[in-house]
Parts: sequence; C-alpha cells; structure tokens
Amino acid sequence: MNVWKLILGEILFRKTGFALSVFAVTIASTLFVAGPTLIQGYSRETRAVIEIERQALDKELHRLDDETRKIMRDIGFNLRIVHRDTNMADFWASDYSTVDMPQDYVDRLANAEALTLVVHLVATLQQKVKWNDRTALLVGYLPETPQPHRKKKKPMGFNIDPGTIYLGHELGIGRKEGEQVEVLGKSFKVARILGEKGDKQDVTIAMSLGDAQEVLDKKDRVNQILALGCRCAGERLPKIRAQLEAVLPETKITEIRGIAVARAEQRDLVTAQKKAIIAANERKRSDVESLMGTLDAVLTPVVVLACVIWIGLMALGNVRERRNEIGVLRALGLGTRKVAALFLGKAAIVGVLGGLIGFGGGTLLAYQVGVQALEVSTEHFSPKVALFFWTAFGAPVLTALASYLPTLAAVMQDPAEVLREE
Amino acid sequence: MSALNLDHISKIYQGPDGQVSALQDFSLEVSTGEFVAVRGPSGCGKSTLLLIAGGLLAPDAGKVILDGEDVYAKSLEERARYRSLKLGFVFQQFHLVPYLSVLNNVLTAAIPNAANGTRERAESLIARFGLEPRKNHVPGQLSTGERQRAALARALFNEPKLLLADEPTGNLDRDNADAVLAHLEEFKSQGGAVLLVTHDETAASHADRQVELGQLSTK
Repeated sequence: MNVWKLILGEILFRKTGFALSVFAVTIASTLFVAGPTLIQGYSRETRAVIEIERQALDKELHRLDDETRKIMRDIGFNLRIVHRDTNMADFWASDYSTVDMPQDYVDRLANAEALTLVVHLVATLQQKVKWNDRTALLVGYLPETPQPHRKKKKPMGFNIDPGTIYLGHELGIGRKEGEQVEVLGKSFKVARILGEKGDKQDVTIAMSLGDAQEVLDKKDRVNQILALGCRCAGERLPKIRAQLEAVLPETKITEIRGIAVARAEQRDLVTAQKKAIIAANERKRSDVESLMGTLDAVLTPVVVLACVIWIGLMALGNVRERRNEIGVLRALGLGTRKVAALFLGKAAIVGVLGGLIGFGGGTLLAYQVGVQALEVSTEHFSPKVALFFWTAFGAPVLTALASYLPTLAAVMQDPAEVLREE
Repeated sequence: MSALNLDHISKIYQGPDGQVSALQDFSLEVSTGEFVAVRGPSGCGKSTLLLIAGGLLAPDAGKVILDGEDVYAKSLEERARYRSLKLGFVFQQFHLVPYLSVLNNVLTAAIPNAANGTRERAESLIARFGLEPRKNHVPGQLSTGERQRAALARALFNEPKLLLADEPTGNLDRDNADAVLAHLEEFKSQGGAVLLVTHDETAASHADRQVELGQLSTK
C-alpha cells in the first residue's frame, strides 16, 4: 500500500468529482490548443492560397503583359536614333533627318551587349519626294537587325522585297496591288496598299532599304534607326542615353513620348493591379487571422482562469469531504508531505489526463472549425508539438497550483479536532 | 515497565462561555501488559485524554512519556512517525477509509513506514479477526462488528506498544462488543498495553484497572 494506491482508490470511489475536474481541465486545454492550432492552420492556408493566387495572377498578368507588349509594339517604335548633328527643329519640320549616317551603325548597335535597354532595331532612310505631283515620304526599310545576345522576338517594321513597294493609304487611292509604278525613275510592283492610319504613313512609299538607297543615291547610308525602348518613360531614358553614348557616340536619341509613356503606364497599371489584388486578399485574410488571435487571447485566459477556480473549488470540496479520512490517516502516522501528496498527486493525474484529452480535443476542434467553417484544407492542420508539451506539462502544474490552497487546508487540518467531534 | 506515563496533564479549551478545563493536573501510568480503563460520563474529557496520549493534541501543561520518550518534545513529523511505530488507535466510529477494501484498510498502517512484505501480516491479522471472507469488501459492505474488527486489525498491524481505544464498543451489540474486548485482552496478554476510555461499565470491567474522570470544570 502506498499513496498512489490511495489516490487511485479515491479516484475510483469518487468518479463524478474526478470526471468533473478532468472535464474542466479538458475544456481549458481544448481552448488553449484549438486557438493556436486553428490560427496556424489558417495561416498556412493563407500562405498557400496567396502563393497559388500569386502564381495564377503572375501567369495571367504575364499573359496580359505579353498581350499589352504586343499591342504596344504594334503601336510602333518609341525611340528614334539619328545622327548627333541632326537639327531637331528641321527634323520635326520635315519629318526626317537631313543628316545621314553609315548603315553599319545599326550593326554596331545590334552587336553591343552593353545596350540592354533597346530592342527591335530597324534602320531606315527617309526623304520627302515628289511623286505623281504629290509630296510623299519615301522610306527605305532594312529588316530588323537581330541582336545576337538577346532572345529572338517577332521582328518589327517592314520586310519589303526588293523591287516592290508598299503604298500608304492616300497614295494608294485609285491604285491596285500588283500594278507597276515608277518611283524616281525606277519601276516597282505595288505589293501592298496599306490601310488608313491617320498619320504620315498614309503618304508613305515604303520600299527595301537597298532600293531607297539606289533611288536616292545614298548607298550604304541611313538617316534614322527606329527602336523600342523597354519602359522608356520616366528615369529610364537617361540610362538608355548613357548606354547609347557608350556604344555609338555619333548618334543621339529622341523619344516618341506619347507611345513610350502609354507603354510604360500600361505596364505599370497591370503591375499595380496585380499587387493591389494580392494585397487586398492578404489584408482580408490577415484581418481574419487577427480577429482569431484577439478572440484566442481574450477567451482562452478567461476560460483557463475559470477552470482553475473550478478545480480549486472541487479540490476544496474534496478536502472537506475527506476530513475524517485525513484525520485518521494522520492518527495512523501519515506525515504532512504524504497528506499533501494525496491531493497534489490527484491534481497531477487530473491535469495530465485533462491536458492530453484537451490536446486531442483542441486539435480536433481546430480541424473541424477550420475545415467546416473557414474552408481550410486538411493538409494545413497538424498537431503542434510545442503545444503538446505545454499542455502535457502545463495542465498538471496548473491543476496542482489550483489545488495548492485546498491541499494546504488538508495539511493544516488538526486531526484532533476531527476525532474529538465523534 | 511503563508504556505510557501521563505526568500532570492539563488541557483547557476556549469555549463560548469562557475557558473549559478538560483535564487538570491529571496523571496516569499504564504499564506494559496492563489494560487500563478510564471511565466517566460524556464530556468529561476522556477523548481529550486519549488524543493527548496519542500525540495528536498537545497538553497545556504536563508531559506525555510514551515508551520512554517525551512525545511532545518531538516535531510534528517525528511525532507522526513515532505514533505509527508505537501506537494503535481504535475509534467508536471505526474510521475506515471508505474506498479501500478490508485488506487495504489494514495496509494503510504500512504507508507511514513504507514497509515491505507486509501483505502476509495483514492477511494473517484479517484471518485472526475472522474477516478472511471479507478481506476484499469495502467498509460499506461490512457489518458494524466486522468494521470494528477491521479497525482493530489495522491498529495492531504495526505491533504497537500501546493501544488507545476510544469507546470501541459504543456502536456494537453485546456479542461484537465482547469479541472486541476479548481481542484487547488478548493484546494485553501478549505484552501490549491498552488504554480504553469508555462510559460503559461492562467494557471497563474487562480492564485490570479503572480510573474515574470527573465532570469538566468551567472557569
């Protein structure tokens, strides 16, 4: 016979009281475990959902961005590279640069690995000409010069076969594709009549660069390199200028600002929208998490405190109920430590049992609430090891503390008083 | 040889109407192998005397010498241990632990000393008191006589020097009372000392010596 046998015997004898105490610890432990487990599961779900949304959005926005890029590309080039000596006042008045430059400039640009902010290089030779009593802009196009160090993209500009021309909408009125026309003394076949665009392209005669050089008598010369700058608006233009200066100091660059800004703003808009959608979702889930955290921080201590008081009262009742037993055990020679062990040992059993059941119950509760009410995936729930130890060791300590005063009352009880009452 | 020496014991209680003197300069010696009965009417201080003798209630004056040692010179814990080694208690209300079987109730006397190999002794005592068929029954399943015999077996478990019996036959019929008293006499005959407090003349008549306690005096 020992103290543990006495404790177990008493537990079996007063099952209801014991069960109520275990129930109280179970409730407290359940809440103690359920809150953080639920928050952890929800938080994991949040991270996963945001990540999936981010990936989906990235994919969708990448597609949108690509579409935008194509649309913006179709709007046209947004950079013009001309000879450094070009008088820009004359340029804007006549729509082309009167100062030409060697054709191989475009090759130097294309092969310059340092030129990272400029793509789609198309060399042209332009000049106003009289054609059939009308003023037309003759433009010779060199097909886009590929940049070997860059990823290959769909080329921009025209790729016009030698001996053929494209006529702008205005110039094409009354003409038919396939007919032969003469331009500056050379015969060309009209390969395409371009649709109405509402700008100078409508009065353009487009041909291959070689043909243009021949009819204008400017062999191996160009007077403009068109290009597309990556997001040239804002502070990037000085960077592009710096890159160009390093590669080709004989040139200068102008920005077709409307197109550049539209392109940049469109891209920025898409990015901002992407960020806003993700941020809104993150904020929404963070609000729910915060609400759960607040509830947990308020509710759990209140319930734990209520349970501690409840267990203390139950223990006090138990001490009063066992007055005679304690008196006799003291008369038989049981010391105060063993009497204290009777009550603290029972409290520890109540704590361990309630803590373990509560840990299981709390995990299950978090799982049920998370899955049913908050639609959290089951994979994001897992028992928290740290909480297991806190509950398994914390609950017995708490019940022992709650039973401390009743135990003290049992220890301090005067056996003579009880035995004299007979 | 003296098993118990109560030397000029006084005990005063603080009552609602003033101080009540339960014992006043009371002396008594119980020798080894002696059966002493203390008689007196209800409320004359018999139980107080027994609790003082048992090291459970410190007297206001006087000494309690048990088996040659001053009981109240010891600390509370030492006294508890000394009590478990030297004394056996039998009460009118039996005071068995309600959730333990007869066997385990007897074995509770082994807890203070954490004694091993005690089950055989407990079973032998149970057999000696005719409780063999009841050894696994809890007190609620026993008759009053059986309960008192179980309490007696528990009291004798540690082979005490002195058995303190407080109205042990108060709740028993004549046959059971005689049986209990016979066991007390048997314990005495084996060299133990018995101090019985009772108001029952018949019970007291089994003692070798009777001591009368008077009415409490109120100051």
